[in-house]
Amino acid sequence: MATLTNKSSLLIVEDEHYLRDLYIDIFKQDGFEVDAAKDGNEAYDKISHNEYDLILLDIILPGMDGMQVLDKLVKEKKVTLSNVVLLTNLSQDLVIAKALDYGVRGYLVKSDYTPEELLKEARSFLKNNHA
Amino acid sequence: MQLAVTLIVSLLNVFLGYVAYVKNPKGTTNRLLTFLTIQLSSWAIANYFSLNSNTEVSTLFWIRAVMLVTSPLGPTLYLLSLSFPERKIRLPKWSVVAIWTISLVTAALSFTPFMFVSVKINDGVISPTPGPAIALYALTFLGGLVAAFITIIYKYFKLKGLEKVQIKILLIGMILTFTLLGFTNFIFVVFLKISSFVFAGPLLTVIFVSGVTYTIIKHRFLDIRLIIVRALTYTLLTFFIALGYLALLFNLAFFMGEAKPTLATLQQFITPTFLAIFFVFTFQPLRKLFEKFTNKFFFKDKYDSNQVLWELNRSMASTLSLSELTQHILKKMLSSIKISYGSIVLVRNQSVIWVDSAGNVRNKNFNGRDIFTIIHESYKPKSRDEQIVIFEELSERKKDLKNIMREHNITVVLPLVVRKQLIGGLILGEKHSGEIYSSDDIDLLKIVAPEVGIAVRNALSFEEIKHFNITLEEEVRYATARLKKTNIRLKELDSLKDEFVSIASHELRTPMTAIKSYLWMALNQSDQKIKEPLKKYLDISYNSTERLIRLVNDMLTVSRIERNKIEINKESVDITEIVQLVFDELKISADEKHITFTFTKEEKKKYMAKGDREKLREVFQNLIGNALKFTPEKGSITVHIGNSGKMVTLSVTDTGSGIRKEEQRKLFKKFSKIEYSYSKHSSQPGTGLGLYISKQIISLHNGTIEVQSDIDKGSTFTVLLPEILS
Repeated sequence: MATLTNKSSLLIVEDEHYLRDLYIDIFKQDGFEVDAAKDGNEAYDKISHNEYDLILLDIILPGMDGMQVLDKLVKEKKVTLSNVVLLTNLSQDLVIAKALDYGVRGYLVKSDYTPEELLKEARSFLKNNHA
Repeated sequence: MQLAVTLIVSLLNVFLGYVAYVKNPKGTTNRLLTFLTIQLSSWAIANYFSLNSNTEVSTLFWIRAVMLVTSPLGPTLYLLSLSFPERKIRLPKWSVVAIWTISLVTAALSFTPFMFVSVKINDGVISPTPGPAIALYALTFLGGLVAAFITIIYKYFKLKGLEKVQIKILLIGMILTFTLLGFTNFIFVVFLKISSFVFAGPLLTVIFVSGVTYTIIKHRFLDIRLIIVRALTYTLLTFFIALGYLALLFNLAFFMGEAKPTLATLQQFITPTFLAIFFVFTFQPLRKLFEKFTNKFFFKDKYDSNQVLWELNRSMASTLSLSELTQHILKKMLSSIKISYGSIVLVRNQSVIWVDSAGNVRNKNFNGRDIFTIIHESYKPKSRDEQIVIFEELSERKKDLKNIMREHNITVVLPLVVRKQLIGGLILGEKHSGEIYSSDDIDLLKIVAPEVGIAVRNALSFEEIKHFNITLEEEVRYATARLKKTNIRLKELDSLKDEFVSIASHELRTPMTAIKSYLWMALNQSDQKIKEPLKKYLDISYNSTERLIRLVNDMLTVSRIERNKIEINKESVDITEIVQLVFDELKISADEKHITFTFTKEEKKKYMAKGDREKLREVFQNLIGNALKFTPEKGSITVHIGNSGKMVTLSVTDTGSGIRKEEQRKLFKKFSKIEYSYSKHSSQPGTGLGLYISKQIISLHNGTIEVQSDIDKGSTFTVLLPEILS
């Protein structure tokens, strides 16, 4: 995309492989450097060791869930969570409020977005990040 | 000497007979006793003369007189023994008549030679010659005597309590008197021809008379103690006064006899004068002194009724606790009247609800049924008689009551009556002394009983209210605890429900997201151009998926609303701005349907309200979206913003088919859909939750949402929100 000078790095944490593959495809097509994790543990490892411009984190995950990943990251103070956007179909108010308290950037309901709209949202997050 | 004793005995007998008769002239026992005493005193006199006559003729006359007056003695004693303590004779009438007839015949034969042929006096020794009728006399006299003995012995073993004591004394008196009498006046005379002891016969009756008198005084045999006491007091008084005036008269005679008054005679004159003045002034103190003396002897347990009443009243007023009250009353009564034991019983609805006892409670098996019977039987609701039952005065007809009272040693029962309603009873045992209750005791009890009734009833009511309060408190505490528990459980359930709704919606959304995303990819990112009708099929699939997703979102919102979990972030918002955004967004759809789509507002005017920008946007989108959905092609939709009073008004008017009145009411309910419009415009079906959610959100903004509609003309939906001045 023209707006991005460097390739933005993105981590997609998604256990549903159809969606994971789809998201990887569209973001790659859009010029992102895409990494993916299929569960909480993998996500934690990747977040701990790498730096991403944007992390799209699901909440309901096998093993460690999204919230536990956030808990652990906050406790170990390894990273700031300002590059994390929750991308989930879960609408549990308490969970979302807690995540926002941790300092995550935003919360998107997966089912409300077409792939195109999702790309648009991601780009707007990044744009605000750099601004 | 013999004469004096004879006179005293006969006078004592007559006196005893008189008081017995005066006490109850109609009572069988009393009548028989009077008759007996007349016989005894006549006998004493006749006997004296029979022994002190100079001629054989007069001696025979007096002996025959003795036989006459003593003929009915045996039968009288027998009938007397039968009548005690029931106070009546339980024999067939013919046998009573027969007994009296035999006595009468014997008496009639007394003055004939059949009884005693003649009398010979040799050197002061009287030897009568008995005739054949003496056998009949012996039969009557001894027969009656033996029958009386058997009856009394039988009753002695059968009776209990006070009656047993009374009959015991009678028995002892009779045994002593008549055994000795049998020897002195019959066996010695008839078989041994010795008449030397005959004079002692009547004197022996003193033993019997003393026994009866003792029974009367100590155990109130015939309830005549008071009469005796008064009689004795006045006899003593009279005796004293008589003695005084005897001295006075003596002095007076002496003074009159003297011709020359001397200093000495003057002194003699002064003495009786002073004596007279002394007697006049000492009459009352003396009377009291004697009364005190007699009271000490006869009423050693005397108490001051007023003092007892006052103390009882005071203790009744001092407490409201039922158990304290009953103990106070009982203890006071027992100690004042000197009663062995007492109970206060409360009854209600045919059962005993309270029993409190004090003193020496002998019978622990005093059961509720017996207590109830006693209380119930003692109360005479329709009678004007005094409400008191005294064992000794109880008629034999009340057999049940009498038996229970006898069994449990109960002497007095007073029903406690408040406002003509039986609430219980006061049950009292024997007096410590074994004496019967005096009329003073009874009077005191009669005065006290109604007061005790009221005090006890009040205490009972208080106790019941207290108990009710305690029960109520317990109930409330229990209910509160249960409510708390339920509340916790509800909170748990609520959070479980929240979790369930969240998880369920998540599980629904996940595959829908995949379907939606892949359909979108098929429609928009495919390398090949998709031809009809495939494109149409994919479009329908995509729209249906969208609808499903909206439904899930709406249900989540409803769930939040219903759990009061929806959050409204109130800030000052310009309603015009939000409406403009929605309007612009939907303009494309309206144009597609060739709908005249207008937004009218006052230029440059802001309509400010406190509200949640995002949620209000949803509401407006829903309303304008609905209008678009239900307005046919080439129709018109007007969105207008203005104000009415202190409210911002937003109205959306369409030229749709309109909504019938009865359906308008259902519009804002969950899953309400208008059949008519639904079938007509099924290409864009809603979830049936949009208006419900809109109404809830507007309510949370303290606003209202209304509809006005005419069939075939169209509808206007109006939102009113409180305006704030910018």
